[in-house]
Amino acid sequence: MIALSQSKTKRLVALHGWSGVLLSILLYVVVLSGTVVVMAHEIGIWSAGNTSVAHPLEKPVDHIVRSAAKSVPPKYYDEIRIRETVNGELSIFFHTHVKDTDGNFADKGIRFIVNPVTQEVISRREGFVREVFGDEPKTALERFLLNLHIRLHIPGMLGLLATGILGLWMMVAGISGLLAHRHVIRDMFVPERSGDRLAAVRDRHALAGSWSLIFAFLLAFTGSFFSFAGSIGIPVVGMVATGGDQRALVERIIGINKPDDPRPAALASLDYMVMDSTRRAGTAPDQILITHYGRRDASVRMLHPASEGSLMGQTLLFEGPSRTFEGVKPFLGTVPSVSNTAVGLMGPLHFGDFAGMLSKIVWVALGSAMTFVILTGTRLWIRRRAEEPAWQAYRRIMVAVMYGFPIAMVACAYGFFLALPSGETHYWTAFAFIGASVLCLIYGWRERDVSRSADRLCWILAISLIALPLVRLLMGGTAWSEAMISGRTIIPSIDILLVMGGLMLLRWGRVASMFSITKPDSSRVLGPAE
Amino acid sequence: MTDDLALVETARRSRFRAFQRVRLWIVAHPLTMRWILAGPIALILSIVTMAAMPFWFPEGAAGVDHLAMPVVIFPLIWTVALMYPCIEDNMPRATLIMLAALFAQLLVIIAAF
Amino acid sequence: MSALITTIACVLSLCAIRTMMRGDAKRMRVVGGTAMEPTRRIVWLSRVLLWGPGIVLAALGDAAGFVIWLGALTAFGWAMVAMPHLTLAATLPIRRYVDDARYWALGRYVAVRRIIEMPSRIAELEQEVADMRRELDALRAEREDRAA
Repeated sequence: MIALSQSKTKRLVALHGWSGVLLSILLYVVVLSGTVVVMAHEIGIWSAGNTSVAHPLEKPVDHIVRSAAKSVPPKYYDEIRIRETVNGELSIFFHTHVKDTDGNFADKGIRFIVNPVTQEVISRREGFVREVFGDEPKTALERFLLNLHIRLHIPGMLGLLATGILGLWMMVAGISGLLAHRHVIRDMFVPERSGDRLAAVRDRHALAGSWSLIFAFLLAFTGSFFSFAGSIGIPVVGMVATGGDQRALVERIIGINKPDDPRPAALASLDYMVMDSTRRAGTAPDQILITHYGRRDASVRMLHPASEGSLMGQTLLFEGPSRTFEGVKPFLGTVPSVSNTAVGLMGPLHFGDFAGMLSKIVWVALGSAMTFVILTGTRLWIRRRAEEPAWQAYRRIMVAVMYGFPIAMVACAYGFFLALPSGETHYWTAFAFIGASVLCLIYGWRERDVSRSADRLCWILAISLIALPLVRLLMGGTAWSEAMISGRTIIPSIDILLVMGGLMLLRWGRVASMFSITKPDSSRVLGPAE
Repeated sequence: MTDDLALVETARRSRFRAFQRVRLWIVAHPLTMRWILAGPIALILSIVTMAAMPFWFPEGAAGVDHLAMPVVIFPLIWTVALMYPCIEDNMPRATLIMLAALFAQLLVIIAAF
Repeated sequence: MSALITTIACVLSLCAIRTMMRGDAKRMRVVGGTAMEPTRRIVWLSRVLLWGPGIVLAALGDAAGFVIWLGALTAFGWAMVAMPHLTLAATLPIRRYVDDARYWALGRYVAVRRIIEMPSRIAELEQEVADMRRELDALRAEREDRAA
């Protein structure tokens, strides 16, 4: 396709292979967990057993916010964030922006969780944002999986840097693969050659890679943007543009430049503004942001999800005291711009959450295809080095990780459900994950026969998938009848998907372990592109 | 081989001996140079480019493009800076281009302060 | 509505991929089947079916639909090309429904035809019976004649 000299092709193949294989395990972990957390919201509902479809923001909230504000010191009136929790309750966070003990900017304030129907305050907590949001027992599973994907559970900026570099490497691997593979378009319909030859392994990797190239690049790029923006981008640009003041930079980019007017003024009716905003945007808001509550310069932003046929959501801006509509607020700046579109597209293109289930299903399929590319690529690398003992050891680890990582993810769901009555879900979710990973790694390392360990681990994965819904129900999870009556079809759907996944693994397990690195084969078939 | 000898000859005749010596070293160690250029130099170049962009990138209609776009395209800049020395055959040229880009961006930053 | 249009667009384009896949000479060499030499009309039709839905979605300004269409095309298109047997197996229940529906429709069609045709069929039978009666009468008359 693109004619390159032989030495260039050789270098690109080396770059592609080494970059892939050195990070293959981490890439596999990030991509597979990313495939799972496409459904993070659904997993949250399923694990919390939430049957309320109250949509608290479609009910009157004005009175709740006002009465909560009475018990909050005015220093936290700076900003109020109102949204729905995973349990269908109303979360109101009064906060201000301060520096935490590490010197980083953080939000500090008081968070209320209110029952939207009875208007009874369920909890009231004061502290930094990670303290008041972090440790709700029912969100443990969703949060654990999300943090795995976002920062591999490495604390601080390092985790973001790690996943950012992984995204970068995926782009590098994609481009170098495209340049080195000369017949991308011509071989678009060519399946792998028969047999367990090296050429067949390469065909499989190249075919999956060619088809998933566009979205692999797109997902890697958007993902590394999210990782690098907070860890490198905003600090560096902040240093040159606003003299190191990141908060000032963010405020300048977001474009809230109303003149300060601290004279007291009552906020107009929130319910009226929600109604007005819903009528203008066509959907109910899923988040409300109030800045400078109780002041003359108060403004209210209504964040609406993407309406039908569009990728980006909308933010409608209202003047607080007079409740007048001030216009549609772009994400960045006050008028539409190139960077607003670019930044606005990053989220939907990475999360695939812009068109409900339809887009999420496609995103899961894309993630699965990319996981497949990583596994077949690793397998190809190991097949080429079938005689080298070091790479055979690597093969054992790869098989253990390939099955062990999904087993560990299922195990952390077990840990979550078993710990649910005690409330210590955060601890046990992590504990189960680490325990299962360590056990799988030890077993995979000690078992010399790779095909046997692959078969056994595959079997364990299948059985644990099938049994998970049972454990959920036994631990007092929401019953199907209850979920169906309240319209939460997602709960039985995930149960059925888990059981189906397990059954498919049992049925196609042999095929699945064929995907991995089975029989050692010394016949080395060299094709033209090697 | 004859190319190398010719290079040695030019180096001997040249008035810029130090420059030629560096050039010879680069030609003799392409792999090391690729590692250096694709590794630390690419990272530094992309960060410096991002830091310089607020001063030369157009502000756009909302006056925020020059602040937001560097952050958006930083992964792309890094990818290009990383892949270029891997693809380029002529290592002295790759070194020259990357260092020139680096100094140009540094100059922009220095001039701005 | 948007979701429905998007789904239809994806299905049309995936059908086109299936057709193109079967007509791909290199693929058929590898699979070992007989290559179906596609006619020019088929080639153009599949090209239009492959890109057309995406162009229509883009022209409608349905950005979400377009991105979903592209994603579904690359993910499920790959699945179809790489695992034809598995995708065939996955569509088995659907194809069974389609078959069932076809038999059901055929049955209804036949029944309705029968009902519509009933008067003429009855007339036909009556005519036949009358003919037979006449024949029988003729035979009886002949026999009586002979006996006499």
